[in-house]
Amino acid sequence: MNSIFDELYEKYHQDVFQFLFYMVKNREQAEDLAQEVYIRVLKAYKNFEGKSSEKTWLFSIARNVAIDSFRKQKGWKQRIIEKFDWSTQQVKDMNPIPEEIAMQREEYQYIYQCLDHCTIDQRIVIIMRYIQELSIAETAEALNWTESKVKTTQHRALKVLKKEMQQLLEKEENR
Amino acid sequence: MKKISDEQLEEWLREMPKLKDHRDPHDIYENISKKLEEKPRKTWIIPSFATAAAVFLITILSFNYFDGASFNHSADKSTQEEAATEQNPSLKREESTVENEARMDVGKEENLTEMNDITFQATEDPTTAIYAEDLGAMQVFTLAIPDSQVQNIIPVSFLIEPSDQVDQLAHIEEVMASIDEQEWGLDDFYPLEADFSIDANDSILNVNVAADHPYQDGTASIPFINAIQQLLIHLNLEKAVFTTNGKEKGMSTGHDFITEKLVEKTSNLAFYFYYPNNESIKPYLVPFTESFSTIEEAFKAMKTNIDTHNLKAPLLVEQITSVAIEETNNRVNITFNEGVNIEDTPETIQSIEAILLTAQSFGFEKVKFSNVPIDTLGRFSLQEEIQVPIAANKQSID
Repeated sequence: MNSIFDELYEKYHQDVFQFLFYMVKNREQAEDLAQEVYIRVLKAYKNFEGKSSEKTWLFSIARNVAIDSFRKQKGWKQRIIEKFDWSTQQVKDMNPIPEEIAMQREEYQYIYQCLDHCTIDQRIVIIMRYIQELSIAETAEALNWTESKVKTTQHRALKVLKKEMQQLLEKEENR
Repeated sequence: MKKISDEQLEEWLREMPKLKDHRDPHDIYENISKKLEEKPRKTWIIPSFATAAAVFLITILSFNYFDGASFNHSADKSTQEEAATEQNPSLKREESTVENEARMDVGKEENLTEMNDITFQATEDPTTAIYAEDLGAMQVFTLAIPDSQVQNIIPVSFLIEPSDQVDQLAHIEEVMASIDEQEWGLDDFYPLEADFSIDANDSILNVNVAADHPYQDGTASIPFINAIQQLLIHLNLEKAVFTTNGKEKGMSTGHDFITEKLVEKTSNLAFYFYYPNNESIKPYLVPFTESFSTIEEAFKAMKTNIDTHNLKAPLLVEQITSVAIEETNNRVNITFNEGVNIEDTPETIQSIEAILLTAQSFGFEKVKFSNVPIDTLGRFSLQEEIQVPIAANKQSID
C-alpha cells in the first residue's frame, strides 16, 4: 500500500469517517465519502504546504466533500421539507439511528435526531468541536473562518439543540 | 421538567458514541487506487471547446474574407450542373441568411466579451448595490440589519436561488443563522429569536416568540419589526400575526403590544453613507427614516450630514441645480452646476449610487444626468440614462 495512505489511515481515518457519518447519517454514504477524501488528499498531497496542520487540512477536505455531496443530492432541501411531518413538527429520519447510538441512553439518540435542526454550518461546528474535540482555533483553521465566527456559530447551534432537546424530553415525559 | 443546562448539553455532546469504519484498510486502498488510475475525462473539455471555438471563428472569418463571393460562385457552379437556373435566387437568399446569422453571431460574441468586461470590473469596482445585470437567474433578498449602535437599519442584500415560498423561508432562515454581522461591522442581530410559519391561504406569516424574547425593549423591537416587514415583502405576504409561547395572542415590544402588522413598504427615503468603522473602505448606503414628499426635498436634505446617526452626506448632491421628472418614462433628469467637478473616485461613484437609490426609493426606474463633464464613472455611462439599482448593499454569503 501507499505509504502516505498508510500514515493518514493510521492517524486520522476513524476521525474523518466519524465526522462524515455524523454529517450524512448514513454508513454507506460515509464510507464512499471517506474514500473521496483520500482521493482528493492523495492528488493534492504534494501541494500540501504545511501552512495548516495535517489534521485541520484533512478536516477541511472532509467538510468540502460532505458539502459537495449535499449539493449533489438534488434538492436536498426539498426532501427535508417533504420529510417534514407537519402534524408532529418533526423531521422524519429516513436513515435509521446507527446501532452504536441506538444501544445507548436516550439522550444521545435525541441529540443525533436534533442535529437535523441545525444548519449545515452549525452541524459542522458541533461535530468538530464536541464529537471530534477540535479546539476553537483548529475548527477556525479547518473551516477557514475567524475564531469569532466559530464561536457565534457554536453558540447558535447549542441554542437550537437545546430548544429541540427540551421539546423532545418534555414530549417523552408527557407520554 | 427541569431545563437542560448548557453544561449538560455539552457533556452529552462530548459523550456521543464513537462511530467506526469497520472495513479493512486494504479494501479501502484498493477502491481508491482504482479511482486514482481512472484518467480524468474533464481535461478533454477545454481542448474540444477550443477546437470548436477555432472552427467557429475560421468559419466566420472566411465568410467575411470572401464576402460571400466565392460561395456565389460555387453555388452557381453546382446549380449549373443541375441545370436548374430558377433555383438560383432562392439559393442566394439562403446564403445571405447564413451570412447574416454568422454576422449576428459575431455580434453576440462581442456582447459576450463586453459582458465579461463588466463582470470583471464589478469585482474591482467600488459600487455597493445590486444591479439588473448582476442578477442572472438569482433572486434578491434584503435583510434589515441594525448598525452596531442600533441607530440605523441597514438594508443588506443577497443573491439567492429562486424557489417557492416555504423553501424560500427555510433558505432565508438559514441565511439569517449563518451570517456574521459583526464581521461586517454591524450588530449581531440574526437569527431572529422567533419561529415562523406561512399560512399561504390567508397570506399570513405567523411569528411566535418566547415569553422572555429579547425584543421587549424599544431599541431592539424596531429592527425586529423591520426585519418582519422585509420578510413579508420578500415572501409576498400581506400580514404578520404574532403569538407568544405558541398560544397567547400578540407579543410585547416593551412600550407596545402588537397582535398583527400589515405589510408596509417604506418609500421616498434619502440615502446617506454609513462607515461602520474606520478600516472599512466601502460605506453602506443607508436610508434615513424620514420620508419626503418630493425627490427634490430628499436631495436637499442629503446635502448635510446627520451627525446624530453617523450618516455622511454623499458628494455631488450639493451640485444639483435642477431636478425634472419625466413621468412617461418614469425617469428623473438631474442637472448639475455648470463646471461641476466629477473625479473618478470610489466616493463619487458611491455618491452616484446614493442618488440612484434615492430615485429608486421614489419609484423611478431611470436617471439621466446633464452637464456632466466626463463620460464614464466606474460602471456608469454618465451621458446615457442609467437604470436604478435593484437593491442596496450587496453582500455574498459563503
